[in-house]
Amino acid sequence: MRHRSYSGKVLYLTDGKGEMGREMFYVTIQPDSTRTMRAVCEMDDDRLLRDVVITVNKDWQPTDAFVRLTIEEKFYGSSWFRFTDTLAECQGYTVKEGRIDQAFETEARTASFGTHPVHGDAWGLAGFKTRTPGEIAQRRGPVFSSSHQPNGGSGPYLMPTDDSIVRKYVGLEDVTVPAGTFRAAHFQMLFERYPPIDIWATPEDCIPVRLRWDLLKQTYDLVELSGDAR
Amino acid sequence: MYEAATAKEGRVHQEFELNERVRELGTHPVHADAWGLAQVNRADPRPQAPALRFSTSIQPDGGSGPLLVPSTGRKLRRYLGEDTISVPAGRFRVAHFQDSFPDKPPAELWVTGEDLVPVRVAWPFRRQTYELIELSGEAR
Repeated sequence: MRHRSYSGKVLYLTDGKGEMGREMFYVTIQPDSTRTMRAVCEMDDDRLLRDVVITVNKDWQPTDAFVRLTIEEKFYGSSWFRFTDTLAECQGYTVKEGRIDQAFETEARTASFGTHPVHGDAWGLAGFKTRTPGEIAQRRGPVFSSSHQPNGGSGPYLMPTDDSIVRKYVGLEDVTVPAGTFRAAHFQMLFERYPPIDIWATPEDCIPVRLRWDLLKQTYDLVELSGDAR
Repeated sequence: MYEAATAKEGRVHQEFELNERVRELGTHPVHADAWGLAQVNRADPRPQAPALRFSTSIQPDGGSGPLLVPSTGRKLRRYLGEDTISVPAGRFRVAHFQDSFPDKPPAELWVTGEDLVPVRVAWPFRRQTYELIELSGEAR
């Protein structure tokens, strides 16, 4: 066994309310840099439980994924996704849509697949090539999401996404959270209509240390981290 | 129904028409072996053949596919009674089961509670014992 691994936990904290959810993750990285994340996301206010397994290649492009949704303690949907140089496909079953069979021919390998763990947002750091302050991340290839709902509470299915979100690199900063003090890379997701999402992530593995979105008045803090994290 | 892509088989689509619901899918975590014991009638001390069952691989370590493989039905399960055992995760009241095979030595399984958490599994065929060393949360 030559892979390395790390695991941890992120809390979803709402201003004035405190802990309103949590995300447990376990990530393995193979010698060829193929990376698989298993995440369990619990959102208390929406009574939403999400299981995600997603694998990306050395360039952080998705190769396959599985998403299962439980909402209000009931099965909502379960789907498997596969991405090649020319295809994005989904095979799934949801209570609302029934059996799903989707296939999109793509001109290039899918650049990103949003499955809604906070951890996936932090992986956006990999899109910066120079990591100089002010750099705007470039994505080459289509972008999909498993749901267009802000909480990921639909589908899961393959939703083509207009990647109009601009990602801007800010710089390296020291951030202290319950899991410790980290020298983290800070970047922002910029929207036309909303305030930005600020994300601090570890430089190599892009582990979320802290996220803050004033729109939702929520902060997401890393509270546990163990294993060979970089 | 099954959709997959493997390095060996490529893109795979499988469908089996069935007259009854699948009772068990063997995915090869030790934990899933423990869950399979939910199908055993504990009131019957005789060896029992599992109901309709599929597996993701017929290899003992699960190292093929993953595909949808109908069970051979040659495994028999038997409930042996209650016991108390100690493992690094603590001392547990357990239910003891035995899986027997025509061509391999039997496996012994000890699971706890309504959640069927595996506490210990011993399988001489692989010369391995699997023990629970951590348990947290609301396990029942």
